[in-house]
Amino acid sequence: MLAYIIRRLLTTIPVLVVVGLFTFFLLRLTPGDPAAVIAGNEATHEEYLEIRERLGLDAPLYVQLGKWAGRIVQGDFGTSIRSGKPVFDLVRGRIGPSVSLTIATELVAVLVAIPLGVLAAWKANSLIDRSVMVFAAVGFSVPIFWLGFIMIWVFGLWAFGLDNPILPVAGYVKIGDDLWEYVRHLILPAFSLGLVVIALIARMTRASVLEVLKEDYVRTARAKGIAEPAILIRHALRNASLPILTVVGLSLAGLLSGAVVTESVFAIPGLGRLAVEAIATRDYPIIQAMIILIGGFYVFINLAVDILYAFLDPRIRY
Amino acid sequence: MAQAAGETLAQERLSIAARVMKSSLDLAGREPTMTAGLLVLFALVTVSLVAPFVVPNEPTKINMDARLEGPSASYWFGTDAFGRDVFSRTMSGGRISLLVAASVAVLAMAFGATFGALSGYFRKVDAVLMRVMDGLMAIPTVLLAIALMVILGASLQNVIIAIVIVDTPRMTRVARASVLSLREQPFVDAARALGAGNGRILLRHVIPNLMAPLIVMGTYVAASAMLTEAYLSFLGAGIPAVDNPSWGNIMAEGRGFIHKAMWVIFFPGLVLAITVTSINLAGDGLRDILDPKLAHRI
Repeated sequence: MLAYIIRRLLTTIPVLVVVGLFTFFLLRLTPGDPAAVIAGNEATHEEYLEIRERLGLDAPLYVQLGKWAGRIVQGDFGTSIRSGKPVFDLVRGRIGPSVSLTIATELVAVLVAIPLGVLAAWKANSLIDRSVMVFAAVGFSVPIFWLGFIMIWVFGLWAFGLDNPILPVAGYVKIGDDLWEYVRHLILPAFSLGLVVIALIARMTRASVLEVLKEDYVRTARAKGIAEPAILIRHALRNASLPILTVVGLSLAGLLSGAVVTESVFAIPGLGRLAVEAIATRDYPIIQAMIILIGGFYVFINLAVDILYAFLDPRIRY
Repeated sequence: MAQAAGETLAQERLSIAARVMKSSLDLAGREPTMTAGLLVLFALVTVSLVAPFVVPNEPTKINMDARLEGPSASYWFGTDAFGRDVFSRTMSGGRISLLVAASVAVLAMAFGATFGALSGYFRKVDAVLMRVMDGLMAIPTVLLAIALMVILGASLQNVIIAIVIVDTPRMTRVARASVLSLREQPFVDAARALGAGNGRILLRHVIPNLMAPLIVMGTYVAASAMLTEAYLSFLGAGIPAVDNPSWGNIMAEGRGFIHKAMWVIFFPGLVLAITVTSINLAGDGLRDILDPKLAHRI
């Protein structure tokens, strides 16, 4: 087990290196010379050269890369070009809302998708099954921000010519300030972001439960006269849980991509919005930090899922 | 005698035509959702192609006297903040969105097949290439696409390039997995025994057999490319809206007016959702027919 974990841990290194290299070259490949931008039009050539030297831009590329990587490894992401604050502090302040949104979405998705998937597998090829599958296909296909706006429109009651939202349609309340408002503010974003995840988990649940329902022990259980719900939950769902667990874990990482869009729609001050703001203002140190952090999170989630998988199913050794 | 032979030939042709008809109808019966998806898609492509000639108004014509008007007989989907006809814009926008989807799918399939074949076939290439693909896949699609747009600059062509880069790793993975099993097949050994080189084996024996999984994956990529284009436009990093209305940038422009002019976002988004759904449904059906094993991998 330990050997497997270590081996699996080592495979994350090249991925992280590629993400790092991409991020580094992102800045170098972008049109425009940062030193020229900082120096402005008034600067003399000497001043420009001095700024270049101060930023380390006069060194060969591999020296710049080495220095940059050294700082990143120490958690020093530099300072924001626009606000002058350390990127690390800016990012830290944005983690809470994003984590809340991610957890709320995953919770909504699991609670809706697993019953749907089990139901579809149980009534395979029936009208219910087809409906769930079409719903899943629609879920994959609806633009997240569009669904968000429709929800804002409906729950803000603007659809009915009124303007007194029954659920908050924008913003974020800290959990410590007001628990009830915290939950209420997360409902619409979680559902609009959750639809894709619901679709994904429902499909996977259906497929793996369907597989298990063909097993001999399910037939035996039925022959013994065990009630259908008990068979579905205790025999089928439990044995089908591994692939479902995987897809839940992977969707967690995928949610971050959707969060970029959802946070923008519902004005949630999270990481996604920070990234979009940084891109709009070309604030490269923040963009770099975001890509490294989110890429790192993705790699970590993948690692965790793989290890959990091996832990739950001892047959698995890659 | 000759006449009789001609008759049988004609009859045979007729019966072949009848069989093809019958088997397509059977297929439509077995895969009703796929058939529905294909029909809707066909209709949408047709409408998008003829739209420039038949839409009631010029999609880019500004009319400041008719700003943010609701749906009516003259403006079916209402008008946007510049008084432009949302119906005409939506119908013409389909061309751009479908163009993006089709180009991304074809290019990603081509790159995916090439990289996947090389990677699955040559161990050393595999080690390097797949690490790069893993790294690219670690970055969330939307974020990666926006970052690429920052480097490339906003244009239709660059949106396609950015989304191809985002989607190629997935394609490569599918292609590589198939190549790994194909290279162990007896017909590859047979080709090698007959003296075929690596190039010939790859081009004539491996890549043609990759087509089924790649086409299935291609439909999913086309669907997701359409959504990614919309997200890019929505976040302000997409196709410039000036003279190329796409479903994404029409909605992006309507974003400030959801309070009083929901239709600017509602209709293009609805058409986009219907299109992407039908591509996905078609893809699911295609997968069941061409490559049932893939059902477990996606």
